[in-house]
Amino acid sequence: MLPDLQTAFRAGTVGRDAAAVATLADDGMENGHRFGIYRNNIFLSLTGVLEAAFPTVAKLVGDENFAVLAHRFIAAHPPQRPALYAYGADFAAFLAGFAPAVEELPFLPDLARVEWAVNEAYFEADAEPLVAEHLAGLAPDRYAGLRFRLHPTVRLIGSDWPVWDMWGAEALPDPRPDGKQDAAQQVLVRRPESKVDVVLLAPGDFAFLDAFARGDTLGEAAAAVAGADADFDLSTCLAGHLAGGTFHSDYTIDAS
Amino acid sequence: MAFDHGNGSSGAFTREPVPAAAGVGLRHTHYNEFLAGRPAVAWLEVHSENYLCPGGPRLATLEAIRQHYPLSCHGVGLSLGSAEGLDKDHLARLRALFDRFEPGLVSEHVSWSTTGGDYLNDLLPLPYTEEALDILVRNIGQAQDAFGRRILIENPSSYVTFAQSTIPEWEFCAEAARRSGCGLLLDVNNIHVSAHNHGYDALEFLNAIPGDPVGEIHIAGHADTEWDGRPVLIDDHGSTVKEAVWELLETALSRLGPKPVLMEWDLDLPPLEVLLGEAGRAQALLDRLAPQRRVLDDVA
Repeated sequence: MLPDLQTAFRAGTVGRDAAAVATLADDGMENGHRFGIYRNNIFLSLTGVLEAAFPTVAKLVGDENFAVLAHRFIAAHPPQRPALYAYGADFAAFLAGFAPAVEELPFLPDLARVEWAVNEAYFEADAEPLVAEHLAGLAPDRYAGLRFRLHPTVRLIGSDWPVWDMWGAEALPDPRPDGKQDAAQQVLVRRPESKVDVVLLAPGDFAFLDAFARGDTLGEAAAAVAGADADFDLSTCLAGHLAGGTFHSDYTIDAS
Repeated sequence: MAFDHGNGSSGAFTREPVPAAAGVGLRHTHYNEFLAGRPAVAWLEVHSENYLCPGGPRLATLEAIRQHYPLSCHGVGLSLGSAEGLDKDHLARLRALFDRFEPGLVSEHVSWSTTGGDYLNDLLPLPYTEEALDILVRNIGQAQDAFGRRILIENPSSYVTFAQSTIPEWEFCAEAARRSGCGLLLDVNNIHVSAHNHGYDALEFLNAIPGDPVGEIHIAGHADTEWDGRPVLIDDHGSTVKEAVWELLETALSRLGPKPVLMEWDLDLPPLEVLLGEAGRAQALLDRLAPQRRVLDDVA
C-alpha cells in the first residue's frame, strides 16, 4: 500500500535504514540498485541549501567536514516544510550539541546564529524603517515615553566570541580566539531595504536595543543602559539607529 | 468542479495567458540581466516554492520582472502523490503567491516528496496503481479547489519502478488528468530519461497522450552516467538539450500542435544567452511547424 511504500522510502533515504530498502526491494521495487540515486539527490540538494545559508561555517570547517555535519543534521532534522528558505533554523543548536565540532571550534554555533540571522533578515517581511523625520513633530518631553519596535528584520546576537570578525572570513583566525570576555562581540543584523547589514555593536548599544525587544520605553532603556555602560551616549546611539533603519516606523508612545 | 476564473485579486497584475511560444526558467543567477534589460523571450517560469518567503529582494525582483513577461508558476513541493494528503498551510501560501503574481499557468508533478511530515526535497516515484491514482486525483482536486484554478501535472523522470504497478505511466498521467479535470505538462526530457531507464519506447508514451489536456511542454538537459556500474540517465537539468529530446519535442509539437515550450536549467547555470539559445531553437521549431499545422487545419 502507498503509505507503507512512502514510509519505507523515507526510512531508506533520510533514515539511512538499509532494511527499509530491502523491504521495498522485496515488495518488487525494480532497479533497486538505483535507490541510492534518490538518497544522493536528497542529501546533496539539502547540503547545498545549508551551504548557501551558512557559507562562512562551510568555509571555515572545509567541504569534507561540512558534508559530514550537513549529513548528520539532515538525517536528524529533515525539512518540515516544502519551502527551503526556512531550512536550517535548527542548525546552530545542532552544532552546539555536536561535541566533535564544538570541542574543536567552540565558536561555531554562534557563528551559525549570525549566518542564520542574515538568512532570516533577507527573507523576512518588508517594513518601513523609522527615520528622524518621523519624530520631528514630537515635543521633547514626550521622548521618554516612546516605545520603539525593532524593524521586523532585526536580529540581535550576543556572543563570547568575535563572531563579527569571523563572519565572512575565508579562513580560521590565527591564533584562534580563546573566548575570554575581551573577545566577546555583539552583532546587529537588519535589512531596512534590500541589503542586509551586519553591524558590530558596543555593549551599551546592544543592551539599549535589547531593551526595546523586551518592550521598554526609551526612558527605561536609556536609564538601564546608562547605569551599566559608562561609555554609552544616547543621542549618538539613537541617531545612528534612526539613520540605519533599526526601528519600525510604527511606534507607540505612552501618555505623558 | 467550479473554478473561479474572475480576477478577484486587487493586486498589481492581471492574469495573462502563457503563449504557445518558447520560454525559459527564471533563476536568481540571471536576475540582473532581466532587471537591466528585457531579454527577448516570450514568457518565464519560476519554481513557486522559491517565492514563499514573507518579503525581501527575491519577491521585489519577481515583481519588477513580472511587469514585462507572462509567468508560469511551477511547483516542486506540493507532493500531489502523498498518501497522507496535502499540507493546507502550503496550499494557502501558494494561493497567496498566485493571487499576487497572477501566473497564466500553475503546474506540479506526478510524484511525492512528503511523508510523516518530513519534506524529502526530491520528486519521488509513485507506484502506478489504482490506489495511487485515487490518491493523486483526490489531491489534485483539493489543490485545484484551494487555488480556484486548473493546474497542469508533469510526468516525472524516475530511476526505480515498482512491480505492483498495474498501469503504464502514460495511462496513469492521462487518466489522472481526465478524472480530476487538470491539464498535463508534458516533459519530453523526462519521457526520454524514464524510457531509457526503464526500457520502454518514448514514442509509445508520446502517442498515448491526448492533445487537448496538454498545456505546456518542458525540455531540459540530462546526464548520461553510470550507477553501480550500469548506465543510467539522470535528469539533472544541467546542460543543453540532447538531440534525442529535440526529436521528441518535434514529434510532440507535430502531433499536439503549438504549445508553450519551456527550457529548464537548474544545475551549474550557464550565461543567460545559452538558455535563450535553447529557447530560440525551440521557437524556430514552433515557427517551422505552425504553417504546416495551418495547412492541415485548412484541408480538414
